[in-house]
Amino acid sequence: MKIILTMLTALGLVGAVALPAHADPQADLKQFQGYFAKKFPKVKKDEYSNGFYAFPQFSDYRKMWESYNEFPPYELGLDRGKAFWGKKFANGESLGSCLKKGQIKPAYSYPHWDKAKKELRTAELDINACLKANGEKEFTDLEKDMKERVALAEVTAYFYSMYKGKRAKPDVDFKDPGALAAYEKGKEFYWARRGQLNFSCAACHVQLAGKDMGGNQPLSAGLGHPLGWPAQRLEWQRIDTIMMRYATCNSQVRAKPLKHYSPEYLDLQLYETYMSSGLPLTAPAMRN
Amino acid sequence: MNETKLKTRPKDGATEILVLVNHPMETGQRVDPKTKEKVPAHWIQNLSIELNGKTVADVDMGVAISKDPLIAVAVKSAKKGDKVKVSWSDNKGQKGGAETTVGA
Amino acid sequence: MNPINRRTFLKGTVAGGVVAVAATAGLLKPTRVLAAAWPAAAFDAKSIDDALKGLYGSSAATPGAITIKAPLQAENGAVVPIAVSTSLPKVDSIAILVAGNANPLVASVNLMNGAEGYFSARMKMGKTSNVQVVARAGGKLHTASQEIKVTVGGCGG
Repeated sequence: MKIILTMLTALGLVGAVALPAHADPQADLKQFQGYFAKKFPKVKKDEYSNGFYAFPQFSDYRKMWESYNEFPPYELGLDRGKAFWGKKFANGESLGSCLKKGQIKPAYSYPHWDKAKKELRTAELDINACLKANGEKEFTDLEKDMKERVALAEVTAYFYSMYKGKRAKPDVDFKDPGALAAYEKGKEFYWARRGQLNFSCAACHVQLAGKDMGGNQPLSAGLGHPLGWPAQRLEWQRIDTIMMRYATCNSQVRAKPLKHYSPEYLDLQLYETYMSSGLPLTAPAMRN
Repeated sequence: MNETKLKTRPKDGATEILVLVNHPMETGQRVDPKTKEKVPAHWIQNLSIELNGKTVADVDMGVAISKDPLIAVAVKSAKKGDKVKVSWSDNKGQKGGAETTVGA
Repeated sequence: MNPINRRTFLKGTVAGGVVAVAATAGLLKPTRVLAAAWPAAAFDAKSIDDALKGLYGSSAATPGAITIKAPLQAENGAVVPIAVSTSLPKVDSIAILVAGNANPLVASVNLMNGAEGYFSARMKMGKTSNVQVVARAGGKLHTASQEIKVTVGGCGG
């Protein structure tokens, strides 16, 4: 990490990340996607859904990623997720019936701003709500109980797999002040410096996107970032949640990791996903 | 339950047989964060692949094969409908396996 | 299968006699007559040389005639993909060894009944190391090697 800090200081990025002052999500979206199009003219937009494997400078890593994809290890977790999805509840309903009834939305519409509840909903939250509403046990204790969290990630991954290739379109009405506020907070979180190492998400995934930190840590772009999640990281060798990734990434910059579904992380997921509007869902995906 | 997944696909004029097994492949060196003790070694020792009842590959592996082992071999003249079977056993005596047909 | 075991076995030891009876009685599956023990000596060997001697009785191998498909820099040392292929005729065994691992032998495959000279796996590497692959064809050993760099990722977590 010292090497990284020195590099970032030399690049003038530590303590010097500008906080853009926009209030218009559609304008932000155009600017965010335009930034990457201009900076990497050779990278096709849809490729950003593949994380840093989108970049030609990482073509060696991509070759290996393609070999993993020949028989990706996440297929094991996906099979477990599929089995869970297919289970009938004691009352005869299932996760599938919640999907049919609209209590679980299509994957490409998450995060979704629920006007009635005045809150952001993600696929995991709605899957859990469906279980609870039908008298089944929810997935709990997600920070401490890896088995629970991975089981939730696996069924969520199966759910997302049904929508692979569909284009992200988070269902959020920005005319609703609560929705707009959530978006603004997510954006602020993304661009704010944090932790002892004083990084923002943007420092690595916007300014330094496409660079190889310290020669062994390629940096993915913020564009398309959440669309591979739930993902299987080589590092973890299991399918896990996007919330877990946010927490571990925060720990790495020595910022306090937050809990699953903390408002900050929900808002962040909204901002990131909205910035990736129109790109294809690739979850579950192999990641670094 | 240790799932074993099998698939076949054409590869350079031959048929590749790929196996993916759910197995921890513990080296015996990893320390359990909860108990603070080393997790005992637990790994697949042997994995054998048959085509139409004949062994084509007999794999001996050690703890350095990755968790959830992926193993692939290739056979020259496999036809659609040919039977493929894989069976494995580990150092604790646990076994597993799967069957499929070429072109399934 | 360990050829040393097989030779001893077939020379007609008491065990050989028992197997012959069992085979006639249909008690043994023809595909795996010799339930060879896992070659512990080869897997426990601390050098490539000893591992190869444990597997093949010799470590003398001619370089060449084998292609290795593996990353020059592994993204993560826990899951390094490697594919070995050779068009040498009559390949009956392929082994993968990692010089920098405490026990270099990763895996070996015995090939038969129409299997091609091809073997692919995902392996663990503790550190940057030379990876050596050996193929036995027509009773002779052939070898190729490649270095694979392993560095701890910056944002591992």
